Amino acid sequence: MEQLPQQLINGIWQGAALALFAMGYTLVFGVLDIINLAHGATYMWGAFFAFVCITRLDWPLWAAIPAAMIGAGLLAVVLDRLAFKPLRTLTSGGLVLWVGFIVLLLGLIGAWSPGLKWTLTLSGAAIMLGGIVQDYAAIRPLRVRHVPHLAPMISSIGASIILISLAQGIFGAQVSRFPPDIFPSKPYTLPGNAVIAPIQLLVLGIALALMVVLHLLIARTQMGRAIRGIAWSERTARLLGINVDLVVAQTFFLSGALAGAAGVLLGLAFNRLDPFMGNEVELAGLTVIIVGGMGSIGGAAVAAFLVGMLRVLSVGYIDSSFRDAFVFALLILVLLVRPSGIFGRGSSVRA
Amino acid sequence: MPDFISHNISTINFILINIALGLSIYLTLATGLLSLANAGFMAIGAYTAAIIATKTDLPLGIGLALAILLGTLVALPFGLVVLRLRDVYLAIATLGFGEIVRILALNGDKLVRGITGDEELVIFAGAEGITLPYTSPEMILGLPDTTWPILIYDLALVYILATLYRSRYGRIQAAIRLDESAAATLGIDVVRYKLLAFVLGAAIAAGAGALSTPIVRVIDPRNYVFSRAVDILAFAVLGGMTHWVGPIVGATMLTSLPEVLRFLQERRDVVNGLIIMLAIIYLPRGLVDPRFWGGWWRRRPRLRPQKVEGPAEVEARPKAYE
Repeated sequence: MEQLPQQLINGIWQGAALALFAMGYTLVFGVLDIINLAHGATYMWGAFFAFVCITRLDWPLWAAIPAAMIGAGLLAVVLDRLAFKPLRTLTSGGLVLWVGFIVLLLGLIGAWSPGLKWTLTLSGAAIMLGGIVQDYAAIRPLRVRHVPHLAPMISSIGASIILISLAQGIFGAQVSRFPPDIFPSKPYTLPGNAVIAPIQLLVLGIALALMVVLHLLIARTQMGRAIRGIAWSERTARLLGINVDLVVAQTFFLSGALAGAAGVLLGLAFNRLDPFMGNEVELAGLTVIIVGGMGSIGGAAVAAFLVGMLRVLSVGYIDSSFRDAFVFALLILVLLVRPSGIFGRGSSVRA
Repeated sequence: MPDFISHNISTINFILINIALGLSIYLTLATGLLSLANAGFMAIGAYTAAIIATKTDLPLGIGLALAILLGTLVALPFGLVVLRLRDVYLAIATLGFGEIVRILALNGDKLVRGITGDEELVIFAGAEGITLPYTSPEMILGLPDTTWPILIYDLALVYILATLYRSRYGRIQAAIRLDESAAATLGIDVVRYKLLAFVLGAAIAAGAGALSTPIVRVIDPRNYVFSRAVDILAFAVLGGMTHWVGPIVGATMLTSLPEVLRFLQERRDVVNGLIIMLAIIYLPRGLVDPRFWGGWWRRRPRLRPQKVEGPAEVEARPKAYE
């Protein structure tokens, strides 16, 4: 039992980082009613964006974290355009975007000469940009579609595979590490013989700050009102003159930026990055948003601390190899007993 | 032809295994359930057969039977509890199931040692996995003896599923997929048929797992992770979820594709992901869509006047129109 204070502290800072991940997850679900299974891949890419900024571009940490958040946010916006938007409305710009995406992938994965590789990659990116611009400049819906509920989930699984495989190709499958001297590592001793490393304090601080910012954004700003309006009823929001397309893009940006922040912070704290790091947190994140109630941001934050604590305690007191089994047992239990989650509004229809 | 088979025998083996797996997820998808538990059931089957093969002298047939039995026994109670969930929630719960199976396989020895108290016991062999001894395959009628069981298994599955497709069960399945509430008002016991589809799918996946053991020979938990579940899903998504031919086409294409696209070997996952996305976005009903293809070869016969019994009635018809 003398380990308990230490376990609690570990549970808190890991829970805080998990909360960032899960809040972005649940935000997208709340607005669009879709589970974005590529969220874990966005998280992984966020971590690698910061890695590139720090190791290749020699940026300081304070600049790399926001850069990674912006990068991951933009990635999430493009992801929405590729994987989810065509399932809602087929537009001519969307088709152009897809053509560009295929050219880009061809450039990235093909065994071409360096010149051709860059030409293909860059022209693919340019075509994609053209597609997005076209959608904003002159949106031409070809067809509004009604696809099965499963379609977005399956499509995001495909996107996730592509993102992970690309990261594997670019950064290799092995574990990458930040330079060790990036952050002071002398731990502080707290009452109860618990220690906390400065990096863990940083994780906790940034995570809590971002949670407050997100709360203010959702609760106080015009954008937040629009997001909540669409979550309530997209049709009504549209009738009231809300630019749904723009707000959906903003939602995805927020969601991706949060995932990116979580990726950098957890990547820093454990100092290990690999292309599959998203898978693990993906499943923990799913548990969090279900325990918290799908679409409930506050619920996700609270549930993240709960799940973080459960993981840490099961490692500390039972057996580290069964950590995830406990998380999934909790997941299935909550799904069965109260599918709307602990903090979700009771809605038996949804589940 | 014999040359072609012997050169590509491993691809052919994997195509056959993947066809069985594709058919297992087809059963649930055709009933409107997105279950990602098939990789987990495959793991159950593979571990059962591998343990039978390494610890006893029993033949593969016994391993297969036990694997199917065990898969069914696990799927029944699990299905009963999770099939109350819909759509995304069901997918997540079954995803969790797959992970729990993997973690149990990874740490199975710890559990067994804890129960029996025997510290030296090795059954699951943790992350290294169970390795089956290599026996050079005997050729029977031009195919190795490891291929025949899967081929026969696939043929049996196709026969069963084709029969089911044309039966009352197939129509009930489609009714539940298209509109669950409407199906329920027609007096269909939705829960029972969903459970049936889930358990059948689980049994098929467990059997496929068991039959895959002589071919993969190393059974370790990494073979049955989330990405395996996704691969299986991709077979059905590409091929189509409304007809049993769909997953066969999908599995064949996606398994042979890496062989065809050898220059992309390293990044074949990108192509896999791309195919899943393109198929679900631009071809949401898959390559094999009876509504689309059926229209082609049935169009003309439908337009012909129906054959009516007796000449009198045929003559009577035009008068009725006048």
